Amino acid sequence: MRTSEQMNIPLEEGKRVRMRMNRYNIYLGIVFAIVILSQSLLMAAPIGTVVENIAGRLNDEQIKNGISKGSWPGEANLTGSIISGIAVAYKLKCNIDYRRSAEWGGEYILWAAQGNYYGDEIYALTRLSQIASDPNDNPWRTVVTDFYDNVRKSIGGTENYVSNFYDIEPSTAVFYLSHHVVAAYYVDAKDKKIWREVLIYVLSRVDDSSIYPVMSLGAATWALAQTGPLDQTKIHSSGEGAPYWESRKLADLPDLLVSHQVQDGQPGAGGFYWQFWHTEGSPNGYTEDAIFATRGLVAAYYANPDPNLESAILKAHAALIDGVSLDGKVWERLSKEGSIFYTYSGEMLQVLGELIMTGDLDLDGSINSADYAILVNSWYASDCAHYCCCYGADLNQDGTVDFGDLKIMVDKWLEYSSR
Amino acid sequence: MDNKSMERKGKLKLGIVVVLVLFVVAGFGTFAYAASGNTAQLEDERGIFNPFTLSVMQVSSGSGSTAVVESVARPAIRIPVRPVLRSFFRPPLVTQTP
Repeated sequence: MRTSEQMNIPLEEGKRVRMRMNRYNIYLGIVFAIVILSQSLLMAAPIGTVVENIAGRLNDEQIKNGISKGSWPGEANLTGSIISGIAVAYKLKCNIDYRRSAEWGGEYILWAAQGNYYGDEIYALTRLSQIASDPNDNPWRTVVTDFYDNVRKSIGGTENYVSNFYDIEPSTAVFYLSHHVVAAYYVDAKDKKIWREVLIYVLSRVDDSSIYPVMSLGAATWALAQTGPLDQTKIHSSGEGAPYWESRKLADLPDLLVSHQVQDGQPGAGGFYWQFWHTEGSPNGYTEDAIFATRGLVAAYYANPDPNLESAILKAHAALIDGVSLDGKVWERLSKEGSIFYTYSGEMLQVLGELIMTGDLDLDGSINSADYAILVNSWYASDCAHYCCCYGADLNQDGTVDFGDLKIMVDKWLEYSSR
Repeated sequence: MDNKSMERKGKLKLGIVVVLVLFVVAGFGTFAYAASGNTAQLEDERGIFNPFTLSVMQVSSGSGSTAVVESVARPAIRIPVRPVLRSFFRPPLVTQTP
């Protein structure tokens, strides 16, 4: 019998090279697979996926029977903020389950509030109006219109009703008033300007002795930027405000927000400090602070596109997405620490909806040929009054997908590519 | 020295060692507690670190021999806390009767 050494016949050079190349190909394949896998694990999930994760959990855990039907366990008084978020999820994903969930929540609010609403509740009804088949004529809009009329006609009128906000903790008052202002402008309430003026006055009373200084600054900026100009109007005009606001004007609000963002290289970068006065180690990273500060920045950016704001928004965007766990839970802190409440989820959905770029129809965080394909598929579709009818392709919201929308998409595509 | 006194001496040594070990463990525990940011409760009224005064005695009523003395929790140094949820508020809506 011959040994292996005796069998050691030299291989032909070509065969040896082929074998070596095969081995290299296998190695390359393994390396490529590792790189792709690690990238997919490291990359943040696109907004569309995050929205589905959050809204899916809210939909699953909503109370579906009994007297509390439509609310969420332990958070009945926070239903408004939650369903505003679910309405945004419906608008983005066109999932009919989300719409039903939001409507159940709206019915719960109508039953529980008995005609007198928290600020975030009345705002939630405007979001339901927005996703109704006719946003300009629907029962939700009627309820909101009637509410502001009833306040105006109540004893002492709107002035008396809003004066009650002077007696409570100012940052909490700013939170509710901000939502009222947006809702009052949505239905073009006769006293809408009174609501706005009162918001500015109460904002001037917020300082670091308040409970939520930066969060209320964000909420106020969000409301004021979409209901009027951020101009040279003084915030401290009555002289009764906190020293922080002295000589500050509405136009200063966006930059003030940016000044409270945690800078690159520091723990919690992209998030926001909780209070106005801060150093590197000051408390920061609260999810609600980041949500409302970002909403303020986005609203201010739409009113006046400023590259500094855009940069701050992009950093906040990344921090917010990182703050959501894969099962759709949103925590008290962006570091996924602290309490978990459904209202944080609703508020997160609201800010994510505002962070979607115009033209990003598939919600993957970029504008590319996939979005163009969606627009082409809806080409010349009419009856786009409702967002979901045309998959969001009616970018100029004129009811039809046509050259006007194509121009917007191309402009946004070029803008995104050059970024 | 007889066996009995040797045994007694041994027990004494063991006792001393046990006490020393307890001191060392307590010391480490105190430092770990302080290092985790809880120094506020380990400081006396002047802010001086004092691990042996975790509570203070206070005369709650009476005086002299009739004084009632009780242990009270040391007022913690104020560490700001952000409430997890807002409080709820809507003003009363008083409609006019027609």
